[in-house]
Parts: sequence; C-alpha cells; structure tokens
Amino acid sequence: MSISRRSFLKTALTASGTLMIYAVAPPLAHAIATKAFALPFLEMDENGGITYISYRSDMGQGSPTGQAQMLFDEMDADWNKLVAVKEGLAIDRDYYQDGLATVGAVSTFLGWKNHRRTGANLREGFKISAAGRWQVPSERLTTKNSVVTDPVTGKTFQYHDLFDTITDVFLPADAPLKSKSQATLIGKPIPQLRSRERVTGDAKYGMDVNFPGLKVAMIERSPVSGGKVNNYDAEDALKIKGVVDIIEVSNGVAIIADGFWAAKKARDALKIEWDNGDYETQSSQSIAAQLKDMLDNPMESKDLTGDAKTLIAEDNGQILTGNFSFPFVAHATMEPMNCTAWVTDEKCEIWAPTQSKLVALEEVVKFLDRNNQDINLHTTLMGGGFGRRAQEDFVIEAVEVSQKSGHPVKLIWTREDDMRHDYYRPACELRIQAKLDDENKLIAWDSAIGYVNPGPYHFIPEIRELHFGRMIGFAGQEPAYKIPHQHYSQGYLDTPMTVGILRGISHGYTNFSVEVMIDRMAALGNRNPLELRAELLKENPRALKVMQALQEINTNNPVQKEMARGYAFAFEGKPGIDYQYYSGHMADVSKTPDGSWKVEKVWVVADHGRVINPNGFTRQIQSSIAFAMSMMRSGVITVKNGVVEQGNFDDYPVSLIGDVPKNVSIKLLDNGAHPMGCGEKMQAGIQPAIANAIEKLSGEEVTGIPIRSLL
Amino acid sequence: MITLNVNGKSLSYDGDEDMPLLWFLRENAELTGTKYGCGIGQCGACTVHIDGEAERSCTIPMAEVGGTNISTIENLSANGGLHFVQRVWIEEDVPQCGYCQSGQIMATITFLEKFPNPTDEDIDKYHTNICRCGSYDNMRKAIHKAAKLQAEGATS
Repeated sequence: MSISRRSFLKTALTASGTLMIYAVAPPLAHAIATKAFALPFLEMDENGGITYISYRSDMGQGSPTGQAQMLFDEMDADWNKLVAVKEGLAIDRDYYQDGLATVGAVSTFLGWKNHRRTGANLREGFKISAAGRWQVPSERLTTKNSVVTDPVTGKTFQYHDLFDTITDVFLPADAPLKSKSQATLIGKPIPQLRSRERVTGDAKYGMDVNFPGLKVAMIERSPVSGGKVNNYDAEDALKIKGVVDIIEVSNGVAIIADGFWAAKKARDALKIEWDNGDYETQSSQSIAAQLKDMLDNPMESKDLTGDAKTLIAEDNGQILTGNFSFPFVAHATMEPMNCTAWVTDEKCEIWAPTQSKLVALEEVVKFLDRNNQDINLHTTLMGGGFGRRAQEDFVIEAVEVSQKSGHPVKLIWTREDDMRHDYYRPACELRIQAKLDDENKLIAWDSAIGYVNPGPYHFIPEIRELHFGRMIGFAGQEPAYKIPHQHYSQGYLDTPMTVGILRGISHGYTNFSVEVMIDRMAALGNRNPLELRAELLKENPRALKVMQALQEINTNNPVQKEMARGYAFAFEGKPGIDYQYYSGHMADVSKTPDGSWKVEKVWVVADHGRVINPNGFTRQIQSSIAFAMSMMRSGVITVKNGVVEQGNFDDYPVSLIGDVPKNVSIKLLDNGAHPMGCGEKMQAGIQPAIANAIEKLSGEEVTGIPIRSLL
Repeated sequence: MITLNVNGKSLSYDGDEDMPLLWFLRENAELTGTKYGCGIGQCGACTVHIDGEAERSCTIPMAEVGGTNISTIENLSANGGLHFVQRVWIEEDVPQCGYCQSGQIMATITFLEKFPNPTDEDIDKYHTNICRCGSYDNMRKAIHKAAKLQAEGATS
C-alpha cells in the first residue's frame, strides 16, 4: 500500500464541522476526461451521519442504493448512519470519469470501480488516523460499522472522532479491496433508499419544482416531424386569462402562462401555419418499404467470418429465412418530459429530471454561449427514464423559453407532447438467413438490417456524426453463437423523426430476431432448443453455464397442457473483458378465450457478474417483464402523413397489474465477475422467449411486434 | 366562487371552472403529491378521494367539486405517522421511480374498502392504475398485506 501526495481522496472540514470527502482520479485517455477529476463523494456530520452524493440519476432503477452499498461496504461504514442521498451537481466535465449519463446500467458497471476504491481508501484512512492517535501500527487495527478498533488494547474510535486527524494524513491510493466473502453490504437485499418520500407525496420530481414567480410554459411543436412555423396568430390565445406571453421558439410557438390549464387552453386557441417539409409524405408503410429495400441494397456489408453468402446460395442443406419488422416504440415515462429554467443576464438556474446532466449542461453552455460557472443544473428525481431523459432537447427548450421571455418557466410537456415528440426506438426491418448442413448443423448465417438512424440524435453529441453513433441502432446483430460462416449488412434511413435509446436499445429487435430463428432451427432439426444453444455456446463458459442452469429448470418443470414454452438467450460482451453478461429466458404462454395470449410463467437465469443488490436486481427483472409485454402487445407508434398517430395511454396502452405474469422465477448466478447491473439488460431476452412460445402455440410465424392476437 | 374542503382546510377558487381539480391541487393548493400522468383519466397518477371515493382528478372540472371534501396523499401522513397502506408499500419495497405511487396508494385504500379480502382476480380487474416501472409484483403483495392489516383493525 502506498501513501503519497497522489492520493485518490481529499478530505476537508467545513466550518460547521462536516467532513467533506472528495474522490480524485487521474485523467483517462477518453476524450471527455482528459483532466483529473475531484468530486464530492460524501459528507460525514459531527455525529457520524453520512450523506451520500450520487452522480447518477435516480429514476427508480435503484442506482443510488446499489452505489451506496458498494461504498459503505468497502468503507466499513454503518448503513444505519446513511442519513441522506444528495444529487451531485454537474459542474465541469473535466471533473468526471465519464459523461455521467445514467444509461445502460452504467451506474453499477462503473460504480463498481470508483465506489469500492473510494470506500477502501477511506477505510484505510480512518485506520491510519487512529493509528497515529494511538501510536500503534495501523495494520493491526480493524474496522466495522464506522468504528476503528485496536484488538490489542480494546480501544475504539468512531469514524467521526477522527475528523481532525484524517484531514492531515495522506490517504492511501490503493488500499486492498475486500473479497466476496468479506462483503457486509454488497450482495444484500437492501430495500431501495428514499421509499418513504415516495409514498407520502413528499418526493419532488421535475414536475414539482415551484418557487414564487415561476410560470408554466408549453410549446406547440410541429405535428409533422421536422416542420417549421410559417406564421402564427396568437390573438385568441392571448385573450385566455392567465396567459403571460406567446413567443416563437426554435421548436414551435411557446405559451407562457400562470398555470398549466391557462397554457393548455391558450395553446389550443393558437392558430399556426406550418411548413411541414418533406416528411409529410411519409407513413409507417413507406418507411418500412425503404428499410426493407435496404435488406437487398445495403449501405455496408461484411463477411465477419467465412463466406456465408456463397454457402447459402448453394443448392444443398436447408435454408431457413426469417423476416422481421419492428415499429417505432415510445418510452411513455410516467412523468412526461419537463424542465424548469431561469435565465437572467448573469445566471442560469436549471432543474431538470435528466439522465444526462453533464451533456444537458454542456449543451446549455453552447446554446447560451456562456461560461459553465454561471450555470447551475440541478437534477431532480424523475418519474421513469428508460433512455428518454438522456436526450437534452427538453432542457434546451426550457432554457430558450426562459431566455426569450425573461420569465422563470417550468416547461411542461403534456402526455400527448411526450408521445408525439419522443426519441423513439428506431423502426427496423430484419432478415436472417441461416443454413443447416446435411447433419442439421448451423454453418452459415446472413443477417441484414435496415433501421431508422439514431446516430444523428445520439445522446452524446460528440458522436452524432460518427459510425459509433449509429451502433445504438444495430447493436446485437451479431449473435454470440459459434457459426463458421457469418455475413452482415445494414442500411440506415435518416429521418427528421427523432429516434434514440430505449431500454435495451437495438438488442430488443436484433436479439429478438436471432432467438426466434434459433427456436425455429431447433424445431426444424428436432433438437431441444436449449441443447442447441448450449452447443453453439460451448466455447463461452459463462454463457454455457447459464444455458445449462436453464436446461435443468426446463427438465424439472414440464410444460403444462394447453401452454407452449419458448426459450431465449441474451448477452452483451465476450470472454476476456469486464463488460459481459448472459441470461437465459423461458416463458410459458397460453391462449385466452378471446384469442389473445397470456404469459403464465417466466423463468430467468442471469449471470450478470456480482449482484450488488438481489432485491433491486429482481425488481428490475419484474419491471422489464411488464415493460417488454407492453411493447409486444400494443406499444406501437405509427406514422401517417408524417404525424405520429398515438397520443396517450388510450391508443398506446401499457401493462396493468393484471397483464403481467404472477409467476416469475429468477435464478441469479453470481460468479463473482464484474457486476453489470440489470436495469435495461433484460429486454433482449424476455420478448423472444414469449414470442417463441406464441409461435409454437399458434403455429404461425412471428414476424416481430406487436403480437396482438393468436391467429 | 367555488369553495371546497381539501385535507380538512376550506379553500376557495374563482378561476376558470373548466380547469381540472388536479391543477387546483397542484398549483393553487401546492399539493404536488398528486401527479399529472395523462390528463384523460387513463393512468390514475392523479387519484384523490372526493367524498371518500377514489377519483381521477385530471378529468374532474372545478365546476363539479364545489362543496366536496377532498383528501390527497398528503393527508395520509398529515399528523406525522403513515397510513397502513403507506407502511406496507415501504415494507414491500413497492416504489421504483415512485411517480405513480400516490395514485396507487389512494386507489388501494378505497379498493380495500370495497374488497376487504381481495383475490388476485379482484386486483387484476379493479386495480387499474398504470405503473410504467412495473412494480406490480411487489404491489400485489403489498395490497394483500394491507388487506390483512385492515382485517386486523388497522384504520390509518
């Protein structure tokens, strides 16, 4: 263990006697973290009460709880002394290790490194402080529940007794991390933090921001994506009582009013003439036709291995062709988009329910052309995110309305605004051709995809123009299965209709299609679908174990009469890197008297590395099932004349309590590998397992989503 | 002028009578625990009790609530303690994002008055508030547990 000035931690005592602890880390090669960062990590008051400062957004997924568990565990801090969770401010991107977007279950993946490291170094810091006070070697001291003990003398110090000395010692940079068996909090099913305020109505979401003088703003945006205001007549709208101002803004016409209702009434009374642009000629059908055309006329293609195209063209073996079609999908977070902004000549205060505070801040800096020191962005609690709140659009809108009107404004999107101006999951068309040789072995795989391009709308502005930006539209196209000959192609369609990341991103359709093909292949070769998958995954030990565990469950739980069972496998990453996870899924589906389908039971086996909080993990799987089923049954956004046709939960119904299976069985294979979290990761496997069961039950090929009824 | 009683306090309103009760509660009475989710009575995030009945306040105009007694989520813990439904909601770790939970809890309280011993089918049929986080599994357990507490005499 080295103790040097290049310490990872900095401590400071405030005038009120609170110990502030900052984490410091060296710069990374990454373009957005070229300088060292130092950020407040926690505060400890004079009684030992700890305020944990969370830099990840809290949208119900449990990140602050899991992160605090990692920190407190390594720190040997008393969990009962966790008195508050505070939102970390976005100040300067150079301070941070990453873009601070709360997406892709990154809180757990990255938190695993910096939270444990901080906790361990701090624990050793307290030991060194106590050792100095007692004049004994620190190695012999032990720590537990915020107390340092000298086992030889029996003396103890509470952590908060050591504030004076810990600010004087050089804290260690590389204190040893605990092993899995030494964990006290990691792996424990701790309830989510902040539940009390969420059941009393005290929790403050973006929508609840309020202060004297705050106005409500609403924007009428072009119904046709990409449309612009030609001119507008606000005469009638201005007569509505409570309307303060009506102004043109980049995305349309904004109403500023005393309250929501006046703003909405005024908006209804506005007369706007739009320049609809080119998109008014487009519909879901025309978009699908263009995407389908890309399957035969791709923009990019590659032989990943072997020569699949030639093999498939040969006149032997069996060829299996699957065609799949996926519509746009909306997020429909429970709390519609909103943001409060107050721009004055000198300052700008923002309260945003954002998943991407740093990007939002930076885009405001660019928009206002000001120093980021003059802008404060506060992240509020948020009513769901699912990827939607990683986009900065609604923040910029609020800032623009405040700047142009001169009022502090809470910009509220109605549910209809939210559904018609989403950053949808891209619509896409997929075709997979698989070739089995004479012994029914899978030898060639040719996958073509056409998707609406999310690249230009990527939630990280820097990569909007790069190939990497498009990846969120096609990731997951290449399966983990060992196939000797593989060919891939893709095309992408740019539209003014905004598309982006939605829980599980493209894996929701790419892996869906792969897994439906695998179950079909098993049926064709009269193989057990799980055995077939295990065979194709035999070189990937973690994936194989997941499949074997599911096989065992499958054997022990025979499918009941009048139900059908579907299977699926989902993954990201590969052996040899930290970023990898594997899950196996099984679903039993029955036919309802009205010809619809009902999911009776779902099994999930997951190896997502170490599980930080099995309680939170399980809840995220349950959550994912409800989310997946909404999407499969009815979560469909359609376009007609360039306009999104759905607007609310009446024409975009989502899962209710009676729609989700009561029987969900979850097995977590915690093998000690790098933890991956769960939030978005289950979408890729749940849907194809259900789809495969439906295909078996109906005898009709599944061609994507939605699947409204059984034929 | 409309007068109504909200959480035991008499309040008055002389604005646009078309305005839904939700916005009176959130903006005039500054009771932001009641949430806006859809504005068409579909999601239930705005559920409050009007004269003891669970109602979706986003579609009820102010013109219709004169003289009524309204109770919102804030009323349940007005004297510092929690209602037993709130308590089981915490015990069963129901809330994820929590945005819908005020409405879920207000709906559950009146649901349990009508179905003191609910079956899963009763819950499926009559508990129709949307939770986009899909906290339904924990919620179902919490509803059953609350029913048990109610049967044992819990009133608040």
